[in-house]
Amino acid sequence: MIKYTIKRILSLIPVVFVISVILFGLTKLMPGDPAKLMVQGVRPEYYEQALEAARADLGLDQDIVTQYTKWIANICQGNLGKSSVYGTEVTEVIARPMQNTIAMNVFVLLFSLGISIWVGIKSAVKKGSIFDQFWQVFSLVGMSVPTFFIGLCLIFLFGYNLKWLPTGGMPDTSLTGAAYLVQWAQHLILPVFTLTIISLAGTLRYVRNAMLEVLNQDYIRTARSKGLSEKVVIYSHAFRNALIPVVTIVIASIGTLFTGSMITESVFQWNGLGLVLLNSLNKRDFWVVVSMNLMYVVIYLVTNFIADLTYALVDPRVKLD
Amino acid sequence: MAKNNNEKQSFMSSIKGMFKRMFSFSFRGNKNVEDAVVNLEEEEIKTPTRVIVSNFIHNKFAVIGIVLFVIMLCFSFIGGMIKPLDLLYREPVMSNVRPGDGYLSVPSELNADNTVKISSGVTFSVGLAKNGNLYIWGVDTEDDVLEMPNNASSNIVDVAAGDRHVVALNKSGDIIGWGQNDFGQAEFGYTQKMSLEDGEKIVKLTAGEKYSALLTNQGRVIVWGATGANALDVIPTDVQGRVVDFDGSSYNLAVKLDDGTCRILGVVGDMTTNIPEVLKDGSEKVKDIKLSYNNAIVLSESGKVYVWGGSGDGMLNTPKFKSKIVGVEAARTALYAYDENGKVYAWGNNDLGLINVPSSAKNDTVKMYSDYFQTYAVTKSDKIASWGNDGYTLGTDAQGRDFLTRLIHGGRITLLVGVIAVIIEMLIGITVGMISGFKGGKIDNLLMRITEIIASIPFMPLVITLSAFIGSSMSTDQKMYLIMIILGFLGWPMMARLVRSQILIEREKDFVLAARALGIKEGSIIIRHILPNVMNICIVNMTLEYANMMLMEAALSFLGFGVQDPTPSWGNMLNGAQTSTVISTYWWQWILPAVCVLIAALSINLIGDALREALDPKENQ
Repeated sequence: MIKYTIKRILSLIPVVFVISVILFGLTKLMPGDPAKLMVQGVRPEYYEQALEAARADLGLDQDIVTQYTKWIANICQGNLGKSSVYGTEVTEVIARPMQNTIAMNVFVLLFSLGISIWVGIKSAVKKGSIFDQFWQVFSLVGMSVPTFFIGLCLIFLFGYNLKWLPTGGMPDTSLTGAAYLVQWAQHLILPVFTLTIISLAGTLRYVRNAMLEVLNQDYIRTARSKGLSEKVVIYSHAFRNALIPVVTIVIASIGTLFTGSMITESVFQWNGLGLVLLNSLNKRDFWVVVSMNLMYVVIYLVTNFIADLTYALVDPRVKLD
Repeated sequence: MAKNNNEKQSFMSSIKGMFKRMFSFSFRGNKNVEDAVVNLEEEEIKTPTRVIVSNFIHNKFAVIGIVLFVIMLCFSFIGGMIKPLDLLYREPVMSNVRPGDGYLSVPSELNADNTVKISSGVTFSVGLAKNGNLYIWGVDTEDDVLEMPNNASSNIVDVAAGDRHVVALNKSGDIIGWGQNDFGQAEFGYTQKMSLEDGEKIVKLTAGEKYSALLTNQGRVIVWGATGANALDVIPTDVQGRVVDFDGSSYNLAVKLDDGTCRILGVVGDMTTNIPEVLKDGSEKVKDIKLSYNNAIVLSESGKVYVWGGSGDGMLNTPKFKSKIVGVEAARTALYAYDENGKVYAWGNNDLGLINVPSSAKNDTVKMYSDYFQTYAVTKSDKIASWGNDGYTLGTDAQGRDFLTRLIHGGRITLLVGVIAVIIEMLIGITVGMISGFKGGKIDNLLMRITEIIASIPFMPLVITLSAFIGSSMSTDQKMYLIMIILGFLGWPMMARLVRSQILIEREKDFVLAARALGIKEGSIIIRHILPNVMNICIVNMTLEYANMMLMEAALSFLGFGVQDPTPSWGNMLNGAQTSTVISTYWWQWILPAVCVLIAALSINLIGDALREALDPKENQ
């Protein structure tokens, strides 16, 4: 186990390295010299001098390998670079949106897992029933519906027609205490609902299939033939084993807590990481984009790794090597 | 199986259940046991392919999926042949028009005998009958232009329609207006009333884009509404008081003066500056003057026709008239003249069918009315013929483009981008998976590491980043190909892993061992024995991935990083749908393309699901 962990961690390093090189290369692909952008409007007689200074400031006067090593060394120290639009550190730019994204996705994760475990097990046990058929159709439609369509429908219905909930945006920051919390919750309902439907469609099938597979196992037949009640068979024998693959998707979906959903955040103008990435792309704020992509990669790799480890922990049959 | 739920699990029923499970391949498995037994006899003589096909066909979800998908295909590809798309076409005045047609359906109460005047706005027309009754038809706008006030339906002497408003003059000399009133164009207010002198009577009305104008018996013109851009409210002093007739277009007003000359007021352009000399110096007297968007047409007292203004759309290519012209008329982008025999000449832009004169009116016209994109001709045979734009079944978008046409062509792009992305994805995925699976060792290790790198990057952020970075200096078409390539190049890891694992499973099976024992060559084993078994799962995943890719394209274009306008795609048609007005008012602009994506993706998912069940009945147990 320890050997495997070390091996996996070591194998992550080249992956991160390659991706960081690709991302670094992408910024070099972009047309336009960032140093020239900085010295726009400088008087002609000082132009050359200012350009040189800007290049030195940005480190553009060095060769590309030095630039890369400097950049990566900075990132390792937690210094993600400067946003060219806001003029502040990237970490500052993404701190607040990250909290918003996590807040939103925690609810989504809770709801979608809670509902999908309950529905998935019931569907698998009562396979072919109206209940099962309904949720099967639901998940099929949920997998086919564009995220923005659900969002826009909800805005249209609850925002504009019934006027129950805000159509988007963030709560008013001048509010404090309970009033702020209420408004915050109101702003959160529609995006959470949208993301929950989308995420349910996938996890529902996953849980149902996992449960079905377990129900087909020999030990379930044995348990039944022993004369155990159906309740004991399902909840004590089947459910606990069906949870094994479910645990892995729970861990793996922790990664999505941080990435956020660009579409939902854009539709509801929820100031999360997805919206920051979109805005940065539109404003050509490269370092924010690159840092965020790199951050996503690291988060994904780490959560995948943890998911694999937990899989081995909860299921002793799985051997890691 | 629901039927059996309540029964105790007797021996018989469990046997029945087993049979049912074994031989009923239908998705829900709700057939009678008897049917299942009959199936048993039939299935025995079927080849595996036939079993798959029959399983597939007997799955009602598969049939629904195929029917829906064929409908979407026909809609996009056959529809595209019927309704060609002009990418550069734009008509801002027709922006955000509601779905519906019947712009040209003249009510039966109006006939050639009793019609005094017909005036058209963008989506509607008003007709005035001799008895003073007013009729309005067409499609309503957000400003409820079709809801004529009660006091406007009778005792009317003149009426004029602007783009989205109507003004009418009643017998007692009052002006009634309704429809869009953003600039007060539909409201004859106090200031306007005060500018009329005592005893001065209104004799005629006209209206243009967001403005209205009246002409009095003292030859004075008063304009109200949105006059900021065209400065129409300032009538030159040498004109004011001498006007005998006038006609309004979007930004201009043509006036005929008492000495038979004419002037064009409003936004300065070819139309205002290029007035023929003979009309300016009075050597030719103006009988009638009409304005299109960019051109003016004059019929002189001597029966000659003068056209000037912008040269686009062949507006200046006046045809040769065979006999004396008795009247001229101008639509927004077409001009008309009709002669004493009733023959109609039409020229100009034909995008909306303005110069397709119907045969009933071609040689029979005595009077014409035209404005915007509707033309009406009163014929000798006591009928009102109409042609031009009859409406938009699915409305228009913000740039005034027909939504149905864009939906059809958008479907072509969305369906095509998805297909090509999936083909790229499959080619790479299957190749990598196969090499990995068969070769093993170091190559396998390296390939799987690359696969891991690509799979470990969150899909959507990276696709958008790549699209923005690489596509920043690309043309619209190039960007479309870039999207296909990016989607294809980033989507393959899942496929490669699947193929690899499937090959690893298959190659250990007994039949492969048997084939080897028979001395069959390795290449032949791979192609004839292993691949067919791997292909099944590839086909299923290809179908499901196709739906996924379509949704991806739609999402990308929705966010503005996919297919770019003017090339339509179901996603980018929604790009403008993030404003509150569009969501709340112009519902067709976001519901229709989104529903199209939904139906297409759903149909493909249904087919994919049914395929999976047909190919692998075990999973359905």
